[in-house]
Amino acid sequence: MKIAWSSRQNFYNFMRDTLITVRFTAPPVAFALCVITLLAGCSTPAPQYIISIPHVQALKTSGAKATATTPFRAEGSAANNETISIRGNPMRSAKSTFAAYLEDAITQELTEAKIFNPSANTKISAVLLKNDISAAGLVTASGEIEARFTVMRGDKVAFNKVKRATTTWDSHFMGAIAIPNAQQNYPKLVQALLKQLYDDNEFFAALKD
Amino acid sequence: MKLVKLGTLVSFIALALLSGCAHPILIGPDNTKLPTTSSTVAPKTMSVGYFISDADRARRVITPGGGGDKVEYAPYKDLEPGLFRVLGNVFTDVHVLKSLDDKAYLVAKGIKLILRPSISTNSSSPSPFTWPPTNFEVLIDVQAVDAAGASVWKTTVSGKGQAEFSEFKSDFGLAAKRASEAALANLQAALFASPMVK
Repeated sequence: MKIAWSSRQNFYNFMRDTLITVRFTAPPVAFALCVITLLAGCSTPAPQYIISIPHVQALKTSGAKATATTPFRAEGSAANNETISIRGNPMRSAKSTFAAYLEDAITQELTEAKIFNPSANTKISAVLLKNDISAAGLVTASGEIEARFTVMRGDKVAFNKVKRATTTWDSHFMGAIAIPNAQQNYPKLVQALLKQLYDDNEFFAALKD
Repeated sequence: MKLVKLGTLVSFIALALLSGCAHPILIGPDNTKLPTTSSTVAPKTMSVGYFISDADRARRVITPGGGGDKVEYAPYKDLEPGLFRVLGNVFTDVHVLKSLDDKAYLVAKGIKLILRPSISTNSSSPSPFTWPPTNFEVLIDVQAVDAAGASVWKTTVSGKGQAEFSEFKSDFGLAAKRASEAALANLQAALFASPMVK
């Protein structure tokens, strides 16, 4: 069949033929798109936090005393406390919120270092200020997170600083690869933030004074 | 007719793009689901170290998923936090060794035992439509030597995990995580039953 664009009728005929053709030949494509949609999901939880062994070792050797956490919270819309949009696909926290995710992350590492005690006098809290992933790029994607960490010893503020971390990773033009890849990089973003915290000697000083 | 062929060609190209690629997954266990210190057997008062080479930590492995696709992951890196937890449950003091030749570090930390894990994995899925594996197996081979390098103990444990579409649609590595959790729980049991701890 030769396609001629000499008249509007020809265009209409082409579209009609194309639609008929698609109707019979598109199932594999439509099926593939359905699979992508199903796998992309409507609201996917972020992967669980993965403790960092160097973080745990740093906590163990820091001389920190028993430490507790108090509920972390978020402040401002940049915190994206409920969901982060990754190419239009919302990723929610594996915990109730992303502030709770951060609290769980630090609690896990304190627990592995065997210094977590929920009734301890020294308490860590944090306010999540920024929390976002940019995966629109076809080659690279990035994440940004920022939080204010506070250490209280009884009624005294022993530490109060804002820490920020960014990470980048390889992305892909296909959402079916780029979106799960971005989701899997969220725990690494949180790890990078906690590394900033643990690299601060004043933080460990606040835990052992 | 040509349009039919064109449509078929486009379909095959689309499917080719969607299949045959290695999808990244995480296979590490949820540490909160790993066994805690045994309530019946106290941790052995002993300083131990474990060694994973940098090459193993960086190693990425590709195994089959579903629909002709593959999955890619870092077994040593993903399982190390779980291994650290298990060893911490069994021994009172666990150290990460950067080198097996650093005798001064072994002496300084009082390390009596060195454990070397070797991890192998396999995965599969009967589904022609979805790529995440529905079946996953983790094998952990552990060799223990004393500070002088003499072999003390060795074991091989395994764990199998399964997950169906309704479960893994929100966690593509779920079958793998279940396999990792089972293998690490079996490793903890084997360590507690070993003559090193008894």
